[in-house]
Amino acid sequence: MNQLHARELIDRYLAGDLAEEERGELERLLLGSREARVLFWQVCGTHAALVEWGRAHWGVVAAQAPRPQRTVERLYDRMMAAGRKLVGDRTLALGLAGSVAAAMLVALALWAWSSSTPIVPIAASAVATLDQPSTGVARVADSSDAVWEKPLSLAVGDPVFAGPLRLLRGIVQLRFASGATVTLNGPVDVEIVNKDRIFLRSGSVTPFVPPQAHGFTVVSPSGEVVDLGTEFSVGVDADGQTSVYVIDGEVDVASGHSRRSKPLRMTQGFAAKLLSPAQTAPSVVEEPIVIDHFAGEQASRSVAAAAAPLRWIDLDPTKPARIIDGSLVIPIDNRHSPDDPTVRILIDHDFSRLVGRRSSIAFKAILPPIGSASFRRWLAFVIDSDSPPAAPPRVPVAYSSDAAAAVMVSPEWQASLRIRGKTVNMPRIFQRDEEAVGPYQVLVTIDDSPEGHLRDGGATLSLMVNGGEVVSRQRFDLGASPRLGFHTFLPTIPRENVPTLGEGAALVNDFSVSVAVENAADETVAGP
Amino acid sequence: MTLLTPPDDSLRRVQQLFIEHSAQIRGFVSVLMPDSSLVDDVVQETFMAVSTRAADYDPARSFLAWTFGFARNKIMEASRKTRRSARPLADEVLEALLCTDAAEADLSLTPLRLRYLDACVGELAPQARRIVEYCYQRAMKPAEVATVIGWTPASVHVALSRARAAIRLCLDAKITATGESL
Repeated sequence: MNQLHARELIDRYLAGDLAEEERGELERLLLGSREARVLFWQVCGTHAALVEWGRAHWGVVAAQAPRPQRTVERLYDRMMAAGRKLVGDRTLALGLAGSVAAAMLVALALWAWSSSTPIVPIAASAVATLDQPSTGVARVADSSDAVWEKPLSLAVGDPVFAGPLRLLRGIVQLRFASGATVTLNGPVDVEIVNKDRIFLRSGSVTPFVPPQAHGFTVVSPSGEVVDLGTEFSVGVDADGQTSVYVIDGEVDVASGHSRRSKPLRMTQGFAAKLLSPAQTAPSVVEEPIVIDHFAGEQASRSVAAAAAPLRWIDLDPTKPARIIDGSLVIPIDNRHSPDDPTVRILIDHDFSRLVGRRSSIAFKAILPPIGSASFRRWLAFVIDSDSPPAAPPRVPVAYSSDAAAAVMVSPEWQASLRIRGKTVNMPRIFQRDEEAVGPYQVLVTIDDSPEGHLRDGGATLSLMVNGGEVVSRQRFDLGASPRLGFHTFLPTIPRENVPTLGEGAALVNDFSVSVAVENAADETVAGP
Repeated sequence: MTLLTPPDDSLRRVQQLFIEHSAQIRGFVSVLMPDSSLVDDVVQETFMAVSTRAADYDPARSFLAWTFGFARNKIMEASRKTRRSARPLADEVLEALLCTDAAEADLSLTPLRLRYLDACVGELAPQARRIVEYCYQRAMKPAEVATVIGWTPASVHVALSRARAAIRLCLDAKITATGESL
């Protein structure tokens, strides 16, 4: 092996500058020579460390670059300035910013809309709380290899006061007066606001919140996360993107900082990513309208009032869906006739507001477990263009051309999509032998705004399942009065061969709809 | 002092190990996934995969080696979404690279290296340091760096390669001198 040449190929590979024939040459070299593979990892090991080092420094570079200061930062700086006056020299000096903490980047789902003119709803209470310099709002409970930005030095047992904290590396656990425990994973740049509120500028933290401290909130540049349960992690990268992962319990996640926006409730095992305000289109003020949870009464077959709580219609009265603890339980039983192997419900709400706008629809689906008699049933989330049919069609709507689009979830295949009856080519997230089991967090993004139109018109639909984007910008036609519904049905319809199924149910919860509008003041929020 | 309490189940244990080894895992993915925009996604999906299979993890095995296998699978899957110019190496090459003990042996040093990188980058000649900072702190491609500093792309390649080699020697020396280990 010519080591010089091999090194040059590896260098060019890392730079993304390999020509096609050089790529083939490198691949042959790596396949044929252990010496080349060892050299590869020698070069790449240093490269990998430099990549991490570069990410850790990116916050400093970004902070030094001239840029318009975001509203949230200006407000926050004013708040912190007020706090510094109150706490005097106990407040800590500013300096090196933190970085992305890769460990917590476990975002699995996307929750997008952020206001470009966020309001920070924390200033008054924060300043009031800062006026308690003698006791501190937290103490250092544990510390492992901690290196703080100078001149700060905190040891186990030391009080922590409101103000900025920058942990360059190591892991530190803070115990707040509220009872919450927050693990800082260095490098992290965080502002302690008060005993139950912190502002995470960059890096990642993992709060553990016992019952008495519920409501502990992590504010980030792109939103805020309120704990309702016990443990979650939050990471903010250099671009201000916030990733949230719920380890245990429940949290409410809100994009932007407006109290008008209803949060997305996330439960154990799910994650969300909030985009920074800078990443939204600057010409559009986006404010989410969220319709959250199945809290309404069951409607009649007539169309429900637009402002009523979320409602649904059972198209088959013999198989009604039920609400249990805010979840919609869709029955799957063995009474389907071969001609009608579906159970249909229709979420009956005025979704005409989707038309011409960008919207996201998120829900969590739990299907009967693999191995149970009814696990082969699929759940379909169907976007119809028109009003519900007078009578249930004999062919499942999700398989006919009557549906504009249908997102199907099953234990065997995590998700698939049909548009106008045709299957969209999409990669599978899990192989069958990986036992893809629920719950599935599904996020459907419909862009019917002019920006979402492709050359031949129509809206675009993107689909994420458990954080993986499985469909990107597929064109479809969104009708003037789109209707949303859930169906369960068999994946194939050999009518003479419908198996006898045992009892079971698909469960849908954490349902929410967020619509980007140009002027939130003109819109009313429909919700529970 | 141990900050993280011992896991009480396999899922928690595997997730904690993932967090503790995140720099190494991210490094592995960064190296083998040339499309940097997909690195986070692959790391996240790897986290999901190891979480799903947490019960299969044998603590007697190397966690990194076990996780790298999942990461390799996710890289292969993600390669379908990648533009041709940034697609990963061929599957069989990824297999061969993973089977080389050098991957785990080298990447496991990442946390130690991070302690000394500031010092070692600081020891570079000014122009080499500038190039390293452009490439890694600002994620600029060598061609972009060449435009900024008025060099040819080939010269930047050479300078970057030499800088990495010098940094590696420096890191090895510092780690050896202090006798540190993870």
